[in-house]
Amino acid sequence: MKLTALAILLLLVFSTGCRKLVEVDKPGNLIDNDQVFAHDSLAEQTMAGAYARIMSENNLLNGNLTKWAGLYCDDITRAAVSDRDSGFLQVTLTPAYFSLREVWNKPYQYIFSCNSILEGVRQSGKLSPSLASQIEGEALFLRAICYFYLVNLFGDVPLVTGTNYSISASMPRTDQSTIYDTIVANLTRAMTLLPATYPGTRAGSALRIRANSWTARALLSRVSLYRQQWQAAATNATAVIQSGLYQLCNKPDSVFKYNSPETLLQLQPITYTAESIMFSANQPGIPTYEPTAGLLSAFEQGDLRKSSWLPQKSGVHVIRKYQQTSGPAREYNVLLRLTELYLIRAEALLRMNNVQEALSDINTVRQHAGLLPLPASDKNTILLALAHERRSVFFAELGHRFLDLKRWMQSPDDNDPLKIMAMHAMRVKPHWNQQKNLWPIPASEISANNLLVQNPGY
Amino acid sequence: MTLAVVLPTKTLLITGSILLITMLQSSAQTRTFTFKNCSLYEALQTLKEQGFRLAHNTSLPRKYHIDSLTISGNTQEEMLTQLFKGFPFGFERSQEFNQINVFPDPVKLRTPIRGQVINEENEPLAGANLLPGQLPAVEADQHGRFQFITAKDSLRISVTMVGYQPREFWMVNGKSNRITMQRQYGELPVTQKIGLFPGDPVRSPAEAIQAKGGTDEGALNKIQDMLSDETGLLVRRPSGSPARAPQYEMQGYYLVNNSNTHRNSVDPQFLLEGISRFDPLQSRLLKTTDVDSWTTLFNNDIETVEALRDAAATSPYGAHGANGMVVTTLKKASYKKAPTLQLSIFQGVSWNTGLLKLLDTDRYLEMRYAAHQYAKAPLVDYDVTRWGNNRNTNFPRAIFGGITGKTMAHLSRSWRLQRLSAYHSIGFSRERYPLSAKSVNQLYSAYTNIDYLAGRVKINLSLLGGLGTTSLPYLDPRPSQYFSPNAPIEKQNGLLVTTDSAGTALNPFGWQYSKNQASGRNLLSGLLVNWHPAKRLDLSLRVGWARQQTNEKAAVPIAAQPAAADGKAFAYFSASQQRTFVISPHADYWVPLGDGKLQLSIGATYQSTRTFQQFADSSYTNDAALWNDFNRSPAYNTAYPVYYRYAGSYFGLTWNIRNRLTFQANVRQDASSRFSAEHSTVVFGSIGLSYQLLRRDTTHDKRKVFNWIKLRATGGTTGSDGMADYLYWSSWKPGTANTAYGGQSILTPQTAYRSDVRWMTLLKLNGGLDCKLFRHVDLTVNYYHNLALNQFISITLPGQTGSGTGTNFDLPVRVRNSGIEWSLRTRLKLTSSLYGTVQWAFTRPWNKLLSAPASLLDLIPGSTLSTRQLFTYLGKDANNNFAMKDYNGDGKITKAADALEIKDREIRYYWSCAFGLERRKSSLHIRLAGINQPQFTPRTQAYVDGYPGSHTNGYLLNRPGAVLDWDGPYSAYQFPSVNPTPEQLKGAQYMTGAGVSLENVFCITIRQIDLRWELPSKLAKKISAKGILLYLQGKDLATLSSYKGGNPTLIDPLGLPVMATVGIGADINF
Repeated sequence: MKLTALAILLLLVFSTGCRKLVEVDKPGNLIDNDQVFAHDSLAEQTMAGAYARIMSENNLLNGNLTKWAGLYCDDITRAAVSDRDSGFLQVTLTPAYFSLREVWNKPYQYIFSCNSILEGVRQSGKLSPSLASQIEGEALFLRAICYFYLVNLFGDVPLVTGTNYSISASMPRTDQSTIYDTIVANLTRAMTLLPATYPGTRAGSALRIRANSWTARALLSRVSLYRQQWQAAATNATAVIQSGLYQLCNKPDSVFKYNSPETLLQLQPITYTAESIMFSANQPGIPTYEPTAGLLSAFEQGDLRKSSWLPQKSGVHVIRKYQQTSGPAREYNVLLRLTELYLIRAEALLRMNNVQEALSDINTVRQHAGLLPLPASDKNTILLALAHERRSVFFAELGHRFLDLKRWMQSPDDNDPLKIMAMHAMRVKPHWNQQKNLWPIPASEISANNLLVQNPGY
Repeated sequence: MTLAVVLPTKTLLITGSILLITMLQSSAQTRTFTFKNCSLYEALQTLKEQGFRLAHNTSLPRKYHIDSLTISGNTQEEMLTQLFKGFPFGFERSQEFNQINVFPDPVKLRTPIRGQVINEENEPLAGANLLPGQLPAVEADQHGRFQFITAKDSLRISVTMVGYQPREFWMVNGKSNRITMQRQYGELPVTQKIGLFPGDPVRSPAEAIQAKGGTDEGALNKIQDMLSDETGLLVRRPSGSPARAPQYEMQGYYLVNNSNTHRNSVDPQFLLEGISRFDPLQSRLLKTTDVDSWTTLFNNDIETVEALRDAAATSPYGAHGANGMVVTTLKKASYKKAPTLQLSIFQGVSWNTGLLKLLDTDRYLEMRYAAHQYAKAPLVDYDVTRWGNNRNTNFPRAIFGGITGKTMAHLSRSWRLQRLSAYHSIGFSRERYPLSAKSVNQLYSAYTNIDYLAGRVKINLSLLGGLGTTSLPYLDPRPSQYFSPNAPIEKQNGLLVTTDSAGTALNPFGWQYSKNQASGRNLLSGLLVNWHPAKRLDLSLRVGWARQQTNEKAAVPIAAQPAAADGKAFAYFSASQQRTFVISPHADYWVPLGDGKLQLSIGATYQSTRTFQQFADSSYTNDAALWNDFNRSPAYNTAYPVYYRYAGSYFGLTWNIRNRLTFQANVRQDASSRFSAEHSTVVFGSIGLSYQLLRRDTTHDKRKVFNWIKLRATGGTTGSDGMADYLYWSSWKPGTANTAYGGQSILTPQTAYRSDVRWMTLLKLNGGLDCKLFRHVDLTVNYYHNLALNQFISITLPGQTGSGTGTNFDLPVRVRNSGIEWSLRTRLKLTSSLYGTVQWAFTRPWNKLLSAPASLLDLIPGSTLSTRQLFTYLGKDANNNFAMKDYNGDGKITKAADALEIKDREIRYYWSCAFGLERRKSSLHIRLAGINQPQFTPRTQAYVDGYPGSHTNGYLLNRPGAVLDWDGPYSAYQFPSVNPTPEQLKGAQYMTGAGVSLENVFCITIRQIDLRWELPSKLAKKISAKGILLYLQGKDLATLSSYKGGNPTLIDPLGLPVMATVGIGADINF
């Protein structure tokens, strides 16, 4: 009898389970993931947080790519020696180079944010469908742009698509083409998820500080160009150009303003853009970073972009795409703008031997810079003109110049005029060789994950 | 009633009294006394008044009544013989004191009270201890029989026997008095226990801690010292700092890495038995960190300390015992009624032994110059002449060493009133560490234990409270990175200092010197109710509640910091508070089964803990404000409270067959709030078997070699939740008002959580032999094999995880810990008055990391560097083998490279032994310890092209045997930028930590030598003391080793040095 009673007691103790007993209150300063993705208002804040995170610090997408990729090629230079820049300026990067860790780590932090959002939205099911698809699309877009730069700077990189660090900590490098495929798939999906208009912000819908379907498409166009998929690049560029939402600015001065009609995506700074601070002269006449002599001499006479973006102060040309260092922020950090789409389409058309239409696009861009249209010419000449145009448009801007040079070098045709031009351009750096087109994986990363294999040449 | 008897010579008339005493004097020599209707006591008092020098127990004679008695004689003896004729008392004249001592005479007592102690199988229990109130304790003979010679009709006794539950029993004269003892299943013969037990001749705490001196230290240090002689439990000091608590490493759970935050996952759990179980807070009482080094526990209050390791032994303790338990049992009421006051005083001299060689200024500059030269960089020179004669930056002798002093006072008392018994104690201790700056540790403690016994119910209440303060300078072994070459230099407090631009004084090349103060308050309470409702059923309920509060502050006293309002220049405050509640019901029931008995146990535990943290800057100017803030709402705290809850249930059965073969099986279920609901609950089980090959021999036959042999084996799983709170939890953090994006509030995801985090599971196998040889030698041989299936260790996460640069986080690894250990202890009677004791413990572990995250191929103890990291740092030789570089060509590296060949990357073996010689009044004890392990040697590096604050870039010049990392110059004064070739960078580019190289180190330490005298009792009595013990003590006198990097026994070779101490002390018992 007693044994029976004991058996019942035993059963009770073991069957009631302790799960309920050990439920604890969570710290009040944090919000549970499930709760966040059960409410539209909270879920929307996660995406705002992802953008804000980029703008809350100097990082690849906010100043550093402009600076370091610019120093690495014939774009910008600096006179005073700095430990944090010298490896880039002199093309003597080593895996232990301190600044490299920022280049590598920051995009992965934004990727983590995006992955958190994607997991949250997909598991939730409680959000309104329109908001869920919008946030998912934005996260996919932001993740894609991070991977785009990682792949271009480091080559193969680990493709992390989840938040579990026990999995991501020991992921090896993924093949570039796989990552590109993922980028394309994500952008294609984002285009269907995102609205054509800009997601509403409380400050006013006029702002283009969050991704819409056109920004995804614009990035897809760029990715296609980088992958030498000319038709896709041209088609997507055309779609964006014909969307009717965007117009080229007539004055270069207004391109980087918060209300610029040319902008596809610009991130709102917390105070001022990183570039405006970085390129401002801390002492009269002596800015830390200067345009290279090659860049200054590359401009045609009368190019409004030179006079607007490279004004002379005390006899020295200063990089002033972003100028504002006081007052309420009126310049936002532009990630994508319409000019690029014209030039993407032009390059794709040229590669597809449609010289006439390409020239028309180039001339459209030239016209807005106060330059005369170029006369019709052969394909190779127009190609070089395009490269020249890209340099004039995208100097000191998100590493466009460095990535262009690298891209053109990858042409299979050794007689490709752009390839020859790019090789020549990079020879201004005595330590440069083809292997230096990829930066080394930071030593600390290989130390923390020995499945990462260093790039050749380092 | 008044009676008056008139006598011829002298009449005494006492009115108002029940007696009348008549004295007759028949002649000049002969005296006569008549006593009527009084007690024997009163009669004796009267005699005393008449000039009898009598010494007697005051209480006993009160109980004997005199109806009418006349005594007469010439001498006092004659008369006393007549007086005591009818009473059970005798007397004898003491020549020494010229008095007559009266004592109870057993011959005249009545029939003794007899009895027998048996167990539930009616087997006599030989050796059972019987403790009556005032009489001497006796032991039951081989038939379990015993007798008490007493004048009483009945007697209340306590009966204790190892392996059986203690009992209280009323014995009555004339009855059979059969005392049946119930087996105590808490003490399982299946397992091996290590530690301090009562009755153990060598290591009884009563002997080793209390009686024989050495009580100068707090319980913390004493237990550390005692346990360090054990096999199976390794006690190591992180550094020589007096306030740094030792690290306890239960063998078989070797740390894969040594990060402070993750030590808990493999440390043994400490608990105070009898106060509250399963309380992580307890560990802080015995095992403290740098600053909260007080303990509220005095060793005088400790009854036993024991360590449990194997799966079966720790199973009742659940998750918190997964890595072993160190169980401390505190004292309860004893029969000693008189208050006991113990005073301990120690005064000594300390000096530095294993002093770490620091690089002096000249040599540093020489190295720096060489580094620049090698990197073909121009050198900006320092003006060396400014340093004058202060260029030697080694530890000034003045900092370490000097007079050390300890004072301790402990007052305890126990009493018994009917069914109520209690033990109370209060203690105070003050220690001054031998450092140049003021560094004092003070603590006050009060402990109370009250027992109430009512038939089948026993209620025990214990309260332990204390508060303490510690003031200890903190010497940061880093040259300041804020060093400016043109700053003035002077000496302060024996340290060479300079000032930075803010006027803060800093030591340029030596050690940064700051002051830490900490204080804390603890209150722990426990209630234990035992109920024995039926013959075979025992129920118990434990309720525990504890609250601990800690307050820390740090400052750089030599800095010209603005003084706070209270005049103290404290720059940083922090405080933490923990509140814990535990409830734990338990039931035992047994049934006869076969030739033995089957005991079933069932229990459960629930624990809830809240931890508050408060960090503040210099806005707090005094302790009181910080304390008070805790009493406000939790929302006031900058960090929100962390909640921890644990629930466990336990079912065990023990089958004991003829007290010879024991089989044990346990199943338990644990749940913890540290896991998601999906993974929170887990089930563990264990089995154990032990067999007494040779039962304990009580005949003391000298011809026998083996007196007792026991074989035992256990196996099972346990689990630990010793990991961070909320690790499983995916959460988002709201941004502040100025981080809005597009006018919208933001949320940021918290990184590095693992939704799939699970219990750390350990598979444990343990087998051993315990035996007693030649009646005096205890020998234990033990083999353990533990497999940590997913031990969590702290490693640096790669940036691809999105958790930022260099974030340390947990990842699971599989580790196998196995080893063999043996211990021998004996106490031999060498001559009639000379005893010798020998203890020897030896452990040889084999540990292996079976699988780990990609970044951890293999690991090295004492470092967060993986072997691979180290190898990478060391570089490869021409044959692509890893090799260390011999930077200065002195050949030392070769030796270090040999050390790396050690496959286990582990302590290879260690041993400890103690020898003692004891005479009746004096003794000599010597304790030695040896260790053979890989140990790091500090090295000095100089960097060129180093980015401030990082070592990752630049050329490294490395010199052995010198100081630590050079943090690079402040940005205002940068090293010139150079572009070293990749070849030059090779040595430096993977360097992530302080400069160390690895050596295999063998050392022998003379840990302690004690020479003790017990002063003659005559002397003691002059100051009304019960005993005085004087001792001469030497500690850490020498470490014999070829190792040059400081003291090799320390975990952290860069820590503060160990100081040797010699002094004289006295323990006085009142």
